[in-house]
Amino acid sequence: MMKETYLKMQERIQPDAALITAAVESAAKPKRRPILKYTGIAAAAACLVMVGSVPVLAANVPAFYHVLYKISPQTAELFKPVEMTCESNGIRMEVGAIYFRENTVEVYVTMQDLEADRLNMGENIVSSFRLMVPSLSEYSQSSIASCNYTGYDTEHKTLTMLLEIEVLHGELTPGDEVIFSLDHVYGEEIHWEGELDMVDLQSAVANAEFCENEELQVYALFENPEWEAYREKTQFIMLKPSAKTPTPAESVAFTGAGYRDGLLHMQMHFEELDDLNTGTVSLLKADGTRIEPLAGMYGCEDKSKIHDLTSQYTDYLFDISEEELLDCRLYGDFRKHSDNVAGDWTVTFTLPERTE
Amino acid sequence: MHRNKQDQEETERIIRQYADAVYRLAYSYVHNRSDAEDIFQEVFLRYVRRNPKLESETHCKAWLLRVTANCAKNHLNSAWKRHTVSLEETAGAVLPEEEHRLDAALRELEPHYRAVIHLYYYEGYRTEEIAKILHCKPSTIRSRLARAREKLKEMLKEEFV
Repeated sequence: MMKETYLKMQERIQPDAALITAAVESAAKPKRRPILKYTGIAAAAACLVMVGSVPVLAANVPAFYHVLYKISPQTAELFKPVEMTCESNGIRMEVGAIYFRENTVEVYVTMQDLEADRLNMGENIVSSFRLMVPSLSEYSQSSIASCNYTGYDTEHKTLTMLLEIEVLHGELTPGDEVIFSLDHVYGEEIHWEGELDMVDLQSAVANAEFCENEELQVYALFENPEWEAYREKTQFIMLKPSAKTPTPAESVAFTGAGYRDGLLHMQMHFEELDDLNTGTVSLLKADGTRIEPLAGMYGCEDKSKIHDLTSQYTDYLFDISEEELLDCRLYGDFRKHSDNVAGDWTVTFTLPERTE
Repeated sequence: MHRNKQDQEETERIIRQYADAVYRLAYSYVHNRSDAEDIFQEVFLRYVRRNPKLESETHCKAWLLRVTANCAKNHLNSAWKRHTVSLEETAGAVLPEEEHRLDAALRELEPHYRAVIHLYYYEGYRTEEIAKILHCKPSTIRSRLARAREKLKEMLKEEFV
């Protein structure tokens, strides 16, 4: 089996003892990184810092490119400068440079706070963005994209992110339009996980009712691979929420459990969705093994308003008998973000010629 | 930065405990020893400088792997790229035929596919957890996994299971 082969191969891949010792010694006495050994990473980092040091104004976009060129001509050759900027909530977003090769696009995006210092959230920031490539509209799930933190310039209060787009179906051509929209930047993640021992599962199951009159409307589903076998026999009807039982995780409550179509529904309520309040539950058996949900249904009172939701219900679905459930405790794993900055930033740019 | 003896001992423990995990994820991206070493050093340097507040070992490992992925991506984006090399050159030994084939196939995969394969099959993370580590949506991770398996199947003529 290839997977077993892969696991065996990993055992050959280990850091040298000398490398580990060097890391430990460096940690004890942090010193400047030797320029020669870390040229690649140091230069890329220096490049990002230099970008942040240049005032981010539309007129200086060529300056971004020239700064990049001075540090690394090879890297500069890969990126083509563009001039795209917009401002919202006192923060200016700018598309700095684009690298287009094959069916992949990489774009440096900066955000400068013109009024305060709200974007200095550390490298664990997450952004809520939307991407449209109109030329690919005929393909569903045509591309995957990520937008990741790459640096922060404290002097100019400028955050730099790298937007990466990979096209799976269809082909990009020079001149294609890309519309990039951002409406939130989220700060540090707050994570809680543990047993939800305040939840009485047996009592909840005994008192369960389901939404026969669409009190909750299902508007989305997440599926794990095992869900395939259950899909056809399941009706998308959610539990009717009972009184909320708060959990130690902020803005997350338990609202019911019950059986339908042979599956256990476990319902949680999430508030403050603007803070990317998310999570999952699982069932913890007495022997320590964990049963993960097969799938989850997201529901709300009026699915015509899902774009303005501030709270939602999620029914997590499990294949477990009532008898087995007696041996289980509910386990939660929840995350949300703090220090969120909202705005309405949209830029449209066209792809340059490909870099060979 | 003033660091007391207790901090230093804790840092040494963290480095030794997670050295393999960090190195292997870095290697999955760059597929050569030299770049993996650079990334390894960078990750623990950041750990020392940032001194993050980590609630548990699980959180610590996830944080380190997230930084590893970011450093690896920065490294791949820089102009100073080295070529991928075979695991035989890295390990200094002749691999069994099956490992040789798989290694050659993995070298053909793009780095972000290799990383997802590694985090899923070797580290045992669920797709939602990988999404957090790599700052992607879970659907993106599932797509990458499916695509990586598809590509490996094309090359190896068998399923990656």
